[in-house]
Amino acid sequence: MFGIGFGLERIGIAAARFPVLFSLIVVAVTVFAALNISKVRFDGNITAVLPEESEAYRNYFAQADRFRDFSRDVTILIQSDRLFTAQGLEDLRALQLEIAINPAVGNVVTMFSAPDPDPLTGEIGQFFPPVIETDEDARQLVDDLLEAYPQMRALAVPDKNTAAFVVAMREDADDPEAIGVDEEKYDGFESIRSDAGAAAPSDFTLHYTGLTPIGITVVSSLVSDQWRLTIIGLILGAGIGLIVFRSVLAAIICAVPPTLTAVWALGLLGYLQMPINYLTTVLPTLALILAFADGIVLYFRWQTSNGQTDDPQANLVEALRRVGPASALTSITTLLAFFSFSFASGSALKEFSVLGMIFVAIAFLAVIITMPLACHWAARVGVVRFGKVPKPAYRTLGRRFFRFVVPRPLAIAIAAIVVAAALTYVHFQVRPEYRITDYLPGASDTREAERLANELIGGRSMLSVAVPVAVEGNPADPANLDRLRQVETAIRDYFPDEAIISILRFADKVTTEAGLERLAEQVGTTPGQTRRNFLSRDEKDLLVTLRVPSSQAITDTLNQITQLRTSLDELDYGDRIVVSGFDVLMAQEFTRLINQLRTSLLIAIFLGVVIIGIATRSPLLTLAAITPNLLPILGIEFVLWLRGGTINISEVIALTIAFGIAIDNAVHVINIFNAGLRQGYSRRHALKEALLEVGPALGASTTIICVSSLVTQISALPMVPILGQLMTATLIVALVANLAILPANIICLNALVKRFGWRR
Amino acid sequence: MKTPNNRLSTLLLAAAVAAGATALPQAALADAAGFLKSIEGSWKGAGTAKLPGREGSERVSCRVTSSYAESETALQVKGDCATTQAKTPVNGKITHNGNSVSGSLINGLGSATMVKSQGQVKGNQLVVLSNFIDDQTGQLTRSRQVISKTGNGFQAAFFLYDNASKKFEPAGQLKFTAN
Repeated sequence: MFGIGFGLERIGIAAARFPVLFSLIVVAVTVFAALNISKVRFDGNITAVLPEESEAYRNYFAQADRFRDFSRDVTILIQSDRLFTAQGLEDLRALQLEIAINPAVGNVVTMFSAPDPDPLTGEIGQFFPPVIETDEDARQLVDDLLEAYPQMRALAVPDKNTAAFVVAMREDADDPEAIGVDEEKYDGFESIRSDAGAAAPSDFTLHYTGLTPIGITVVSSLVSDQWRLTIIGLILGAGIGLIVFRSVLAAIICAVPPTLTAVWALGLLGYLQMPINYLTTVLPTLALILAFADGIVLYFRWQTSNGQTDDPQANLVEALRRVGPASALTSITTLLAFFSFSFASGSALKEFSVLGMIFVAIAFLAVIITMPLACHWAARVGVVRFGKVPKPAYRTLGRRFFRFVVPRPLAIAIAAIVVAAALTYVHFQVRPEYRITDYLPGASDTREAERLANELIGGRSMLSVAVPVAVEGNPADPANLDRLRQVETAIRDYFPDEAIISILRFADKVTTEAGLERLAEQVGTTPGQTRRNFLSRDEKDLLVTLRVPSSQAITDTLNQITQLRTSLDELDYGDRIVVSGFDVLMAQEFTRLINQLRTSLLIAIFLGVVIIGIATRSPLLTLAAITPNLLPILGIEFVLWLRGGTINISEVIALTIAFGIAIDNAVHVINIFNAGLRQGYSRRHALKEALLEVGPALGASTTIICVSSLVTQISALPMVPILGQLMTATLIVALVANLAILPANIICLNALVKRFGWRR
Repeated sequence: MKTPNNRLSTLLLAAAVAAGATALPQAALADAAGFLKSIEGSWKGAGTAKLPGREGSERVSCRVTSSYAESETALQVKGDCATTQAKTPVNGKITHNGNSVSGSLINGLGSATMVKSQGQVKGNQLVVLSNFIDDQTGQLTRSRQVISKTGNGFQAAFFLYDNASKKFEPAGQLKFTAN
């Protein structure tokens, strides 16, 4: 029968017994991994995390295919004090024409694109003359434009000296699959930025935003983050090892498993050609943090034994037998936390789940194999000291907690239950949230551009409403225009009028039937990508687009969309109207996804506690482990609730991972407690021994993880520091909970069992 | 039906194809082959054009690539042109027989057919006269392009025949430089 580690500690014992063989294997694997690190790729696509089987996801890409991929548009904000003078407008128009002929560009829409249809003939002219003579003319033209088309306020903001260009990236009409090919879009965007920068007058300031610039910004942050986080994380971990053990050798030995974990993890990503995205970027760092934590506990035991006997090999095997099972079980609980993500929809989260589990397994193997090897070779070269070893930090931590708990276990246990119950209410009050700016570096130009777009032009993000035509072959047929009018009326109840654009906006300026026919002819023969701003590829749907700010809360967007959907459903053809767009996708899917992940978190907690029950075969210990492991999560959710009541996807993931690590504390306490019982100690004595032995190790490993997690604070991506902060807070609460509440629960439950004479 | 955009293509390509005369010495440019070869390369142009069916001139820009095929004694051109309202791909082909230029300047016009095209090199200028028939209305459009060499590129002036005044009226002008 296996112990709590399911016998996995035997891998380490084998490594200790056959160090040469295992060392050769480790060297071979490490060389192979190192050679593959250069193949690591990065993916900045934020939609990659969404479930592709959902209706919103399918609508989004179907809409992009039937009309065009609006989400890939690049919005350029141009600012200059002289922008709305005659020369400023001429320079702006020249800049538009220069950008338009870039090979990566499909079309550029600016204030100069405003059509001026003849009311009688329907012939489309241009609002602006080929030459703008005077500054007065310039001002008058812009005023007239904004009066005729209030929607143009998204492209011309005279009082803020700002204009906007919407640059549609070229799409390959013959290859719809090409939609969303990021590398090509990224290269295209860089070329556009280069051309625009070269062509713009020196007193024009250009800001770029849109999903493509955002993707590039995220990728560059992922690349710089990955190496910085890994290397500085290792240095920090080793530094803390040095402080905790007060030994250079200990710091070096403890750095071996996490270093190899990082190399193996990154090598595996390179070998599998799996790109690192904004979710998986944290996994290698996380794996090395786990390796530090487990390695420290193992080393701690070995060092303690070395202080008592001078047989390093025997001490090593003894440490593996005593700590190895707990390391195995903690890895299993963390692995289960990652496994819980596989219950969420979408291949990206399933991939995150699988990668997370693999990385946890890698961290465990690195610890259980390379720590004994490092210890073995250190002893062989004679650098290990025996007898009196430096006293580690936190050696009084367990005793202090024991003294705190023993006089008042019932009060602690009941208080924990009451607080957990109260915080469970808060758990259900926290709302899902998504903001694209949360994924952009704080100091990045793209984030500033996104902020300006939201503030000055009402946002660059587009919602699209596809309306089936009543009459095919003539988009400007009065019956089709009537449908657009009905749909726009419904939209106006929830969105501002100036945010709405469709063919109706200029068709309404034509007063004759012949004029409308001519207008339809011109729409029909406009180059494809421009035409698909209004008309679907098969000409069976008309498009109404709405501009929305990306800073809007997704709960608000979801409410707007739900209400709009209800209004549209009242129309005869309402069931054939499709509402889509990046924000619709995010509002619907991120809400669903975050809720699914929160359910996954509860599943992870359930599985974690159950696995403790299975490993210890003790219902009592299973019950005792519930509140100390719920409270860290609920406590952090309470803090999030106080901060604004919202939780985003990274925060849920951080909480789940933190839980997976936090439950390790319970496992270590229970492991030594059970060992004491097997040695014949009384329950109280076993508990004391457990806290005395495990307390310092847990204090040290929590400190190391928390300090190592400080590395996340240097990340350029705002989500990563938050992930680090949440993990740190969760682990500190978990340490206190498992050294105070868990022993209190064990004492109380034992007393309960004793009083009622139940079997344990 | 002839549309503003494919008319734009016609106009601009005619100008682009006939443009150039920058790289070769005067003697080499004096024949059609030498002239067409001299405009091989990548070009960027900007200017104004009056598009048929629309009031007034509009700002346009183009980026085209041209290559001369010895076997066909023809210059092939492809690229994009844009106004502030739309961007459209353009392509064309000019063949020559001796010093006489013929053929279609624009392929795939769709709604208009070039029924006559004749040009020759005079000094450092290329003059091309072309007639188009609208496939749907049967309306005849006559055009003339005059290409003049400038310091770092060339200038293409475009004229359309006005039946009322009985003369070619200016319809656009583009300045091309090497891209």
